[in-house]
Amino acid sequence: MTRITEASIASHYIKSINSLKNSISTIQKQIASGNLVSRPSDSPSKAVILIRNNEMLNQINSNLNNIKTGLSFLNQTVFSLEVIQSELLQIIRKLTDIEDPLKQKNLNNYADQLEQSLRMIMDVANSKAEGRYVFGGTDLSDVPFKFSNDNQTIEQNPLIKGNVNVKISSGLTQRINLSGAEVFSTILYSNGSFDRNAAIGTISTVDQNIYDNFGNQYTFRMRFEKVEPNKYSFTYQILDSNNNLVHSSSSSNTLSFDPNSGYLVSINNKPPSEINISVPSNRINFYIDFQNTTEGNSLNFNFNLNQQTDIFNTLQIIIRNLRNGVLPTEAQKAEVDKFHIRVLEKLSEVGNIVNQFNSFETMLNQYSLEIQTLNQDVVGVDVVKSIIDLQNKDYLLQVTQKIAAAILPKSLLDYL
Amino acid sequence: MAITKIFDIASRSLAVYRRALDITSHNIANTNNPNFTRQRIVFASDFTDMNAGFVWGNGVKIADVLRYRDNFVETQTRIINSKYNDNKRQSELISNIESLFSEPSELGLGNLIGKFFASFSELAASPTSNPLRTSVLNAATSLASKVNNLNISLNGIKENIKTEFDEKLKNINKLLVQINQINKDIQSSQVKNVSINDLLDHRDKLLNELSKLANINIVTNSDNTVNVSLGGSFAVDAYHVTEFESYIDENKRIQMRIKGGTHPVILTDGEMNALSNVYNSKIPSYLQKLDRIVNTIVIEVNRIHSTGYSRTTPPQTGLNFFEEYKDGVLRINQLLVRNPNLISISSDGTQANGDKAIEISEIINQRIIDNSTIMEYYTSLINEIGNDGLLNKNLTEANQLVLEQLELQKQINSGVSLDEEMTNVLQFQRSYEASAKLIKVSDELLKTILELV
Repeated sequence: MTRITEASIASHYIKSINSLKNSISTIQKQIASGNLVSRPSDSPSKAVILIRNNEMLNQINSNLNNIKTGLSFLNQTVFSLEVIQSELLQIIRKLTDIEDPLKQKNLNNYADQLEQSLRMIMDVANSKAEGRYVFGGTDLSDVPFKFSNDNQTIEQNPLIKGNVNVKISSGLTQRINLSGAEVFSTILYSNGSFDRNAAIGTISTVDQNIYDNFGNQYTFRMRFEKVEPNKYSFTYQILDSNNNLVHSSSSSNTLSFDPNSGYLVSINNKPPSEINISVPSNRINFYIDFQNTTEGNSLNFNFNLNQQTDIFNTLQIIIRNLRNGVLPTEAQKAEVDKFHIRVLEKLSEVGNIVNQFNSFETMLNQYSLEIQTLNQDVVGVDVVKSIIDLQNKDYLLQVTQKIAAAILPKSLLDYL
Repeated sequence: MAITKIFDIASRSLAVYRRALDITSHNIANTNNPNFTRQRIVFASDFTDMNAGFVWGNGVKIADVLRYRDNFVETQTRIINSKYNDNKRQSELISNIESLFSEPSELGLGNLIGKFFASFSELAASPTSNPLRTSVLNAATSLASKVNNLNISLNGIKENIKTEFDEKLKNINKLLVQINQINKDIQSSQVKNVSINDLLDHRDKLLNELSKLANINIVTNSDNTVNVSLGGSFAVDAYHVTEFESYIDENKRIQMRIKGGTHPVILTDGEMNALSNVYNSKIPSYLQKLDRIVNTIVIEVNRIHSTGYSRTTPPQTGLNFFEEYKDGVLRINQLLVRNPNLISISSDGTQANGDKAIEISEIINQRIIDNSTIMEYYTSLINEIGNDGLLNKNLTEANQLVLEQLELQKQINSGVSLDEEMTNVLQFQRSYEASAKLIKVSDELLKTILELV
């Protein structure tokens, strides 16, 4: 028969009591923290899940903040475009009114009204949101649009291009602005292709009509030379109507194409963007956009000017002419209509981005909720169960202590 | 047989049972002494006489006083004790290390890394915002502070381990000297025919203490002395005692060796093994992984940041975000701290461009360390620390259960039962009374004979 000594009984009780106290302490800690895992060794796999989920929540919260910032800026852009569009509708109505011979006596009055509209559009085009010009692109150095010193034309900051991008999901960015260049500026789009089979040193030239802020026509002469495989240097000259040189490029720009896909990969070793060509002395300011130009198996130049002069200078010409008793031409009215359509298109484009942001916001909020639920499932404490466990352990502890107190001192010695 | 012989037998019996009561009271007095082994008296009949063709008994004598002891249980206890204390100390040290990482919580390194990259993502949405630029620097400062604290604390733990290693080594040397002395005492006591039971108990206690510290091997000699080796090196016997010393080897590993020797003691169990294992293996492994994570962050962030443009006039480029990560110290470029506009997140030099910030924020999702993302690599480090902690905790509990069983076994064999001892007291008391009665009867017999004269 096994010998049971007083020491072994005492040791047994002490171990039981310690074990129960440990359990009670653990349950109390879990209830207080609301978390089953307070250190990695509690459950390494659950701790890892929790850290990764928390990192995902960090990214989601950051993306939600970006969306909030983006939506605020986009809403300001939408508001600005709506004001411009509303003002354009009035301008178009007035330009139609002027066609009525009865109303042509008050051309100065119409000129005044159009000037008010012009200033309104300029104010909106120069508006700011969150410390940035709404249509300033990524530049903050100067106001996007302003009257020239002689008040004859409207000058454009040549740097109002570029996208402000925000991250809305892992590996996914979206722009939150429309640049002044894409909304208001004159852009010469190039949709053609270079011949990848052409020999090094092959030179091609193309002429394109461009216009100054007064609407005067110039010739924009472009020269492309293949300097290396998949690389072309671009230089240009601007000639007046008498073929006199008024400006030439100070340096060449290098266009580089991907040898496999043929897409443009860089301009002057930087990501492709519009090249601004500005000749202040001749009030010429426009962009040339090569981003849709490719390198193919044949040479095929295709250039397209989005407008002759921008909306500000078009209106300024109309106003000046009205003050001189000259009615707007059909071409000028067509320019205004074209700009109105562009504003509507841009509104639609911004609306799409806003919709995308709203969808992502809903999706990210849902995702965040799911991760939080998952975290609760993995490491959350079932408080009711824990409290019942705690009561049970406490009861056992009391019983153990009571029995220990009653039995431990007893031995034959007590009965002698 | 002469009547006087009855006196002899009875008086010897009285002495034997008084001695038996002494032993029993010694047992009772040591009921709560965990290192005590109960002692049992072996009675034997005294030498017999041959007289007149008859065999005459000479009463009772104490043949021996034995210790109730199970060698197998003792040996197993020491082996498991070594393992238990190894796992327990490792578990405690790793628990300290776990606390430093503060995972999983808001203050954990993982969260700070995530917040650092998220701050760049948010700055990209408002590149001109000074508060967001400051927020990036704050996130970087929190990250650097955590990294630096982790390095300081982990190296601090190493320093503490070294101190503890030296202290425990002094303990080992003291224990060996004491064991050597007891071995000598046992030899001399045996020569003088003095009971050595309590010396053996004391030596068992010292051997148990030694087994807590390191893996030992014990050989018991025929004269009851023991030869002890520690980690394969001779430690002590009845004639010699070895002194051990600690040293840091060429690989910056903490080791122990015989003083003046060249070969390290091979530690496999005990607290010394726990200390050397955490010092030599665990902490360097954790630090190496931490360094890898931080170096990757520094290299990747600087690679992108140095190609961006600052928000200054004129815009500057070629600036690093982090100065360096060297000797466990992560430093942010102080130029940026003084002027947050030098944070270079514009890809083209315009002020509202934040494309480089987006690129930096994407680093966290790229597979750049052993085909893992920074967070995956970091969580594998946390998983490793967690598993090391859990493994040692589980092994501690398992070994504790075995130790408890062995302790129970030891108690069953060697523990003092008051019921048993009190029964013995009653028995010996009765025997003592009977012996006294015998003297009285002998006295009456002698008196009767004397009255006849």
